[in-house]
Amino acid sequence: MSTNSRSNARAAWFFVLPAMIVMFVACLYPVISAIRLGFYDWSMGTPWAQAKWTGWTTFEIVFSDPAIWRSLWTTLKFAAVSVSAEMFLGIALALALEGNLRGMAFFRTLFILPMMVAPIAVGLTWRYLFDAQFGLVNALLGVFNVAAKGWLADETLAFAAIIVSDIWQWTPFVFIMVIAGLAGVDANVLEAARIDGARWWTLTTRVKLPMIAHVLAITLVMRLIDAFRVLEVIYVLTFGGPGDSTEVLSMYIYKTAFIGQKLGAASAISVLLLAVVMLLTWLALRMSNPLSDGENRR
Amino acid sequence: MSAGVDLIQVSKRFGDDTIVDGISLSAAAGEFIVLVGASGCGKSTTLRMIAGLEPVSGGRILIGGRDVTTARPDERDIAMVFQNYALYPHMSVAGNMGFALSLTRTPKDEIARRVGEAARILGIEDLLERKPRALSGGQRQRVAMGRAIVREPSVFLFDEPLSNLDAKLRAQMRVELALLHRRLGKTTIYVTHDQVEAMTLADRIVILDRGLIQQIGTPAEVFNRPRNLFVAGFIGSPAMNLFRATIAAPDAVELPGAGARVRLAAPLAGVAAGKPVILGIRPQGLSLGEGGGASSLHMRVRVAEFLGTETVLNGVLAVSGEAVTASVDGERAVLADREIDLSVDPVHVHVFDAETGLNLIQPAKEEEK
Repeated sequence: MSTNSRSNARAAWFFVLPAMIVMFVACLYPVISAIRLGFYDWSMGTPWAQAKWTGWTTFEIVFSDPAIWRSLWTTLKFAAVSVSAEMFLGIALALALEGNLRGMAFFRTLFILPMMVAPIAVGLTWRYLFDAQFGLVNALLGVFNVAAKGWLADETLAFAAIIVSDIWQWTPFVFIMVIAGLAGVDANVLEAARIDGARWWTLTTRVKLPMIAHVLAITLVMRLIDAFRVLEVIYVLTFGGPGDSTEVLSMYIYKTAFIGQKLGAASAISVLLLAVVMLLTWLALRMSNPLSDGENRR
Repeated sequence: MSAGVDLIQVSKRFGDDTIVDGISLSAAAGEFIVLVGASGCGKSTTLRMIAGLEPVSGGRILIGGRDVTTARPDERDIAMVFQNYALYPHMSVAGNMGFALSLTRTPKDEIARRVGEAARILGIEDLLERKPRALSGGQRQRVAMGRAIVREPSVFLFDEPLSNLDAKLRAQMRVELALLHRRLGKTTIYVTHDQVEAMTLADRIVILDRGLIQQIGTPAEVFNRPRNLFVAGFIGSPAMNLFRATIAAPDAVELPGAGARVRLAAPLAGVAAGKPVILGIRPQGLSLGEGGGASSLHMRVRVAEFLGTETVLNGVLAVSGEAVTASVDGERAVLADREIDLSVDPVHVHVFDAETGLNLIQPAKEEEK
């Protein structure tokens, strides 16, 4: 290696190092600590020196508890229903509002407002909306002579309620991603498809959407990851109840850590959550990897 | 089957801007028509109106005698090749070429047969499984043409299809396009700003400027008998020399600034002496000659560009300082910064009315507006 290239490499390290330190401290260290915590029995507030090494025991206890699998199932259901609905509605809205019609910019801005609201505020807002006595939802149903329902008191309705609030908040994210993707589609390609005889449906399903498949894939991954980590809205709306009907994995982790004071167990469950999210991400990226050059895909 | 294309008083306006101003044009079945003009002249808009991608603001469009003015693009029996090829990036080459047929529920065997046939014609059989992004510019160009051929349309529309290729490939594809047209015999309307493409490919050239047709004619007609100053300046490379002049006699024009007199091939009829005109001389009509003749110009050469068979001399008229270009025999070395005498071949001389810009010598016969 010449002196010149060696000093180049040193300069490269010099510039990259700060970013690597930040990445390690902010991302990697918490993940490693969480995994390590799973192997210890430690209560918050006590010195770390008093933590006891338990090996795989915590993992064995936690994973043999049916509650964790139930909350994983609840999380899967929540993510599947809410993300599917968000993808469908977001794509439909984007297709309806793309283009440069007069007033569309106003509508587009209006549609992305929910995304900008803090999740806690979203939870509080929906709690009032779903309130059995004073809520707007029941008031609206009353207009159509439908009896008032205890939205957050019924297991099925509460599950529906958290899904509705998630759809309300996160459909705009899908919308804005798809709108941006569609804006990048070559207008000539769409014209070529029109000449080839594609009408609206075929143009959309066989040309437009496949052309933004990478945007859809990355949007899906980001929404799935977020849906698996959802906490604040459920915390405020139902706190996992009634019973454990809306107790998603992150809610269960929260309760284990801060109510049960079992940080080791909570960390062990976090590892499970991490594994599930990583698996989903890998699967989605495999289906349509935005970073691949597409040469090997048909 | 091939079909003729008729534009009848077709216009296109965007707000207050008139892009195409009531043009009429008839392309016979099997004819190769090239629309040529500078950027913004309305040529691409005209093509897009024929394709049905742009609604007309006025007038009618007929394809094969059928009024298609308001028909959808796929109902016009046309195929179009775009400047950027507009291939479907997520489909293979075969998928791109067969897409239109798959939409009409053509049996898979038939699609494969027609795609294979088009691929064979274009020499892209090896590329059928590839994605567009794995192709070179020239290969994409062929796929775009293949997609058009597979549909077996009555009319082919080309929107500057060669402008993204390098010079060598462009020349090669030009020849292939000409051969393809001869082989398929389909009516072709081709838009370009490149006059070499226009001259080499067209049966007839349509020269557009500011939304109006300036002249329609064969390549020889528009070169030898430009109807007006615009056509004279646009067609021909290097561009025609234009000088301020006055009529001296029915068969002679005087360049007051240059102190020279140029004799015409035939006398002008009905033009008064002293009338201000623009004298146009093709660079090819100037040759190195003896000084002192009636039709000779004195030129100060600034740059001599040796191109092999010819040398293009750029400079100014010695007296008036007006810019002049001469295309002379490449065998004779001409040095820069020399003063030379050029003799003028009357065949390459044109006289234009200084006010209307119309050619006074051989006005091309009035064709479509």
